[in-house]
Parts: sequence; structure tokens; C-alpha cells
Amino acid sequence: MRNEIHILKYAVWRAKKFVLIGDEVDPEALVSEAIARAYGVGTGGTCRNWNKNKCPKLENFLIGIIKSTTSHKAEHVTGFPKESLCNKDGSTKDDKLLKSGDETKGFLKPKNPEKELIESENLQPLMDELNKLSDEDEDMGMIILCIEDGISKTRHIAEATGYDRKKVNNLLRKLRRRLENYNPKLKNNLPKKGRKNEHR
Amino acid sequence: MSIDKEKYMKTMDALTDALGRSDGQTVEDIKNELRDDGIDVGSALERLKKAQLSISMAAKRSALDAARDKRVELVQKGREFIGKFSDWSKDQIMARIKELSGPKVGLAYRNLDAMGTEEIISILEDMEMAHYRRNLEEGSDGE
Repeated sequence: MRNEIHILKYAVWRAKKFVLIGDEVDPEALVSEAIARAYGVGTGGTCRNWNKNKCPKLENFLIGIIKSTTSHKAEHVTGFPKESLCNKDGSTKDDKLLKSGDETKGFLKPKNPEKELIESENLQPLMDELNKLSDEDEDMGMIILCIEDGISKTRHIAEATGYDRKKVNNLLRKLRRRLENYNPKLKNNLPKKGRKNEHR
Repeated sequence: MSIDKEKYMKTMDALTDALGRSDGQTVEDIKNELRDDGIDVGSALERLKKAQLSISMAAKRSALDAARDKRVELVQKGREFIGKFSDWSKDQIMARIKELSGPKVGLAYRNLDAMGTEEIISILEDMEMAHYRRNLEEGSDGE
């Protein structure tokens, strides 16, 4: 597997989504699950067929699997393991691989109202933070506007804003830094790192 | 609290998708970013490589197990066909052979007529087996 670091980084950010709403997901578990699905031995016997013509890079295919398994539409339906399929030494936990379809029913349980409320409460400050960043920086505001519209790929953001890709990447880097230490459990959510980086 | 949770979750999806991608970043940038997140990059990548190997082996074992199960099933099914047609008349056997071969195959029926009952039973057993295997494979493809 090449470019593992890109896949790991993507998983780290997707896992942060759950951290931001007050949940916990191991990024390595997301990568392991994506690999397992690509090999046809994912949780609940799930598999994803790799169409090399459509998606020539395995890296992008695995990122696509991570994206879909952690999408807000999929998370309550398909389920994925929150802990790794593998032990620390990389060997597989055989009881986790090749689970029967019946066992995955546990993942289908809806969230309880309390959890829904906690998630909602954790989302609001982040949205406020994004609004604040938009107000402070017009260019950043354009990027956030795209994200709010569901546009997330550099190429598509560049098309939507008219910025060149380099500028979009720089703005995304800046946004990444500002949100790096965001923690929904803290009262004052302006990231320490973001503050420091403002003077970079 | 009344918030549009669906809209916010959609934003979260796009936000983590955009920030998770590495466009324009060098490997060193990514490593630094992951280290800032408290991740031991070397160890994590090493674990993932080992995990990939283990998963690949598990997948191969699974494929081998499935192939073995299929072989066992075929052998058992093959045994079911042996002797099944011994009390059939020659006309019944010929009709079944025609049914299995279909209109496109065009078997030389005159040659079959010249054969003894045991020989055409043997042909029918082979054809039943091939028919069963084809159905099995089509069923697997359709899954």
C-alpha cells in the first residue's frame, strides 16, 4: 500500500469529526476497516469492489471508503468498528474480521436522545467558530461558504471561488491550523495553536 | 436548543473531508501535522502495514475456505447424480440431455442413439454436474 500517510491523515480528520461531536473513533481503525472492506472481509462481511478504471489509485479508493463509512448519512446505518480490527502488533483480531451479518445488527441501533442532544450542543460552538473565522477573513469566508455547501475538494472549491488551487490549499492549511486544537469540551474554543499561528 | 443538525452534520462532513485531504502538502508537512496531533507517525504506519498484511492473509484464508466449501459441495452433489438415472428409460434420458444442452449446442443425437444406456447415463451425469456448477457460479456472480 503506497501513500499510507495520506490515508492515515484523512482518517485522522474523519475521526476528528466524531471527537468534535463528543464521540471517539480510532483513526487507525478506520484505515484497517477500509483495507478490510477492499479485501472483502470488512465488518459484517462488507466489501467494496475496487474498479481500477474508475479509481486508478488505491489511496483514493481507500479514502473513498473511509469517507463513505464515516459520512453523516452512513454512520447510523452501516456502522464500523470504533476500535481497530488489528492488535497493536498488526495481527488481526480474528473475532472482529469476517463477522456474520447478524452481528452487525448491533450497529444499527439508533442513538439515544441524550446522545443526540450532546452532539447538537457540541456542534453549535464549532459552527460559531466557523462563522467567526468567516467574519475575520473574507477569503477564508469563501472557503467556509463552499464547505457549508458541501463542496470539499480543492478543485471544486477553486472552481466555485475562482481562486487558484494554490490559494485554496493555503487557505485550507490556515483553516486546518485554526481548528487543530479545537475541543468541544473546552469553554473557550479558540485554539491555542490557531492564536499562535496568526502571527506566523 | 434548536439547530439544524442535518445541515451542521453536512458541514462537518465537508469540513473534515476538505481538511483531511493532503492536496498541496508535502509528506513532511503531513508528518508534522500528525505529530502535532500526538500521533507517533512511524509506529502508526508500521502498524498499518502489518494490519494490511494480516488482512490480506485473512482474505486469502477466507477465499481458500470458500473455494474448499464449494469443492466439497460439488463433490457431494456429484455423488447425488451417480446412479440417479439408472432406472430411467432411454427416452427420458435423451429428453433430459436435450433439455440441458439447449437449442444452441446441437449435440449429435444420432450418435447418442447408437450408444448404450450406460454410456448416455454417464453423459447425462456429466451434463447435470456441469449444469449445477454453472448455476452455482451464476448465483455467486449475482451476489
